[in-house]
Amino acid sequence: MIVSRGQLKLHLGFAIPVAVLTAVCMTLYFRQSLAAGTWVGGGSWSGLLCGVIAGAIILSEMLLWPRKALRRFRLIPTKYWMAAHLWMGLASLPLAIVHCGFHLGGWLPATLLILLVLTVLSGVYGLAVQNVLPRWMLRHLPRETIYNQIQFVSDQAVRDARQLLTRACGRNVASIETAVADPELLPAGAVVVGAVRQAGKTRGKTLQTRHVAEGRFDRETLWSAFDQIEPYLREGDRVESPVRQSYGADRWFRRLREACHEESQPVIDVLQDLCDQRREFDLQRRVHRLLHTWLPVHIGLSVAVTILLGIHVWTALKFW
Amino acid sequence: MSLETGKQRSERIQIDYYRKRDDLSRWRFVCIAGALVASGVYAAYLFGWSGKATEQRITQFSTGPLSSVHAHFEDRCEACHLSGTPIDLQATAGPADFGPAEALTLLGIDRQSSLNHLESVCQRCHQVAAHHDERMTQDGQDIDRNCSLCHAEHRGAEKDLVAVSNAKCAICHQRLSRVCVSSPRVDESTVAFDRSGHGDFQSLKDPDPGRIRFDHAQHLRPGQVEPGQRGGTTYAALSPQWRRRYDRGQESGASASDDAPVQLNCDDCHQLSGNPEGRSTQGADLELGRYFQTISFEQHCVGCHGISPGVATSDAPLLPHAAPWDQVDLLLSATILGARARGQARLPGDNSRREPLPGIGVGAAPETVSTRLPDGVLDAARQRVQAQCQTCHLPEDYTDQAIARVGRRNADPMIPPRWLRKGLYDHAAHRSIQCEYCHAAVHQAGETTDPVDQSQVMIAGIESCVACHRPAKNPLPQSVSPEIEAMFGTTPTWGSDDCTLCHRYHGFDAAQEAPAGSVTIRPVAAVRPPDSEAAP
Repeated sequence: MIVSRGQLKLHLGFAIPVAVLTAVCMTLYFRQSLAAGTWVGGGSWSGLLCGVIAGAIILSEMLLWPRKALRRFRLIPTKYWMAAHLWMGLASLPLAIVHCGFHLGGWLPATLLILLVLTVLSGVYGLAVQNVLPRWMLRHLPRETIYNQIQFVSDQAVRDARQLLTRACGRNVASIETAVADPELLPAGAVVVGAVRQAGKTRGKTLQTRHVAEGRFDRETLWSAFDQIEPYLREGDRVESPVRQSYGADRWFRRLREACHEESQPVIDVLQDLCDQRREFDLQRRVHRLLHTWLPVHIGLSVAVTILLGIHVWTALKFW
Repeated sequence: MSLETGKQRSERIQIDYYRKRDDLSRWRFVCIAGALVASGVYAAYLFGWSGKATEQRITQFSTGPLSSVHAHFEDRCEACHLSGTPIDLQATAGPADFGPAEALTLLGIDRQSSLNHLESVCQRCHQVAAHHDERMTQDGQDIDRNCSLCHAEHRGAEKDLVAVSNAKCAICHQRLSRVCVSSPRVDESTVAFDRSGHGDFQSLKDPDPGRIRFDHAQHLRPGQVEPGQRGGTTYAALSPQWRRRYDRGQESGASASDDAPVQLNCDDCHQLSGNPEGRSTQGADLELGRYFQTISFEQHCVGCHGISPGVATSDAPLLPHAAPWDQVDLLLSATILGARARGQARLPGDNSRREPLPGIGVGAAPETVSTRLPDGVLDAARQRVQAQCQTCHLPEDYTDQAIARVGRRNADPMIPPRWLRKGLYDHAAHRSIQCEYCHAAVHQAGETTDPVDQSQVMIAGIESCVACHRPAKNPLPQSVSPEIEAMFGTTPTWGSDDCTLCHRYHGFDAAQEAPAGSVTIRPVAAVRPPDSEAAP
């Protein structure tokens, strides 16, 4: 849910009524507490009012789940659901705290309140990262790919690199048998590799066809270099590699360029670019987890809150 | 020429990638399933499916531990709670203008049932006296019956249920007419402990209720005489028993000389004690030192003011105090006749002289002692005794009827045991403060010769209290000079300004207004049999 100036009208349409409702309920609570000379509990009429509204909000928040399951019916646009979810969810916490009379009570109400706090906090965290990280990724991760395709694309990159090297400097003597068995590694006049292109402020990876030269004297050096970086290209930061860090990679490729012929420089450019891509994939993986792992936590906490809420309502009415 | 076809290029992303489960989808499953399982297990435990004992589960439902005094009800919710009926009277109670008090009635919740239930469960153990409920409006009575309003439970074992905040008292006393059916007999609005928010003590607005003529200033002067006047009481005039009491130097070996004037201090007569017998209304009143020992003639006055029979002998026995006049007459007669019989006093008609007068001789003396006093002798002797009574008592207070009342338990004392009738005062807690700080009038009166004891209660107003008993955030008032602060001794210069420090809600005022021992106990509300209450 993006909260931006362009969506001000949408959010104010929910935020203002919810804020007014919350303010009215809390005013009634504080007024009764002032009259009673203490923080009245959830059994007081004003505390009960706050509790009932908070409970109703929690249940309505959970309607997002069936709404998603029934999305083919197009029940009100998602942006309205999300705006309502956001602002009503935020209001539920102060109402619940007021309902508690500012003390945790026994295990059940304490657990319920703590879970609700964690739920709201996880939601606020999610709101924050959803408004920050996607923009950051768009700017800083131009080679971003689909999260669960990272490994697939990485394997392709290794294949591309191997093919490029074969075209550039002939087969790797050490793996000649493997090369013969792999028809993709047969010599040819051109290979397809990835490259980053920029349009305006947005950058992204495109595929390019490159013509390569025949084998040269620095074949062994290049193949040896490839053997060193191949585990990194496949596994990323899960393995130790000289090109794992950006600074170390620059130094390592600089030495490789010095050891190779001038005509091999484009090949080295491609290898270095693939390493950069793998580094971005690793970063994307971490950022993607920051961006999405909160949601299962949020849902799990919400489920627990809803179940405990039902028990709390039953026991509270019985032992009012 | 490229080795890749367009199809091969498109295969760089798996076409069914969205169907593949990644670590995030597994994480989502773990979270939701974990929440369902954990909540379900907890619910099973709460509802007893785990086989755990009730008392172990019941603490889970509770909104907090009970106070230690009610800890034995911790696992017996039904002892106080009625299923579906709020015991928290905040749910229904409160002045109507505070909110939709009647709204819950629409849900089938009966406000009066809640009130009755709450009162009945509390009164199973607690018999408390009424608090002016006959003068309360319906709203006031609902507040009064709402025990949980002041004694909120489930706030932890350490919670002091009788520690009631000032705001609780202000619910009614902020605007007393709102909960009174008639004009309040105390200040309409009491919102803070100072002159503007509380007013001066009610008891000080009334005349002095005491009926003893006593001049404090005179008794605090050396020799108990006016400055410069001769004939003051000296230590030589005291019997050894009383001299030990009043001559404090004896204990340290620096005894006062015989001709030194007797110097009394406050604590010679005012000694810390418990509540006077027959005036016990609160447990706190029985604390040692809350009051001073009742002033009694035999303990505090007889050392100097023994009642003489008026016979001119040094060994004539003193008359008893507060004895019926018949008894006094008998003792007077016996004393007079006994003195005459022993030759310590002249007989009637005895005009004899030890030295003969010229022409008259020694005179004649009767030969026998008459067993009957001549008319007028006994009356004269009684008048001499009554003259002594008038030193301290009004004439109507030493009649036979008045004397007969003295021994009765419900007799009004001539010296009130408590002067501040609406509130409690703990002298022991203030014992390091010089008496002069609160009773300045006693010492100021020493500068004049006219006693003012009978025209005013010699207790300072609320200003003397608020110097220390003030909100914690307020600094020491500037009116408390270093000289005044020195009078506090070791007593801290800040004290709580809680209403409950001096006032009790349940029946304290009623006990002061009713005859001793006749405190009105609030009628017990209808108690439901435990069987009718739902078990958890």
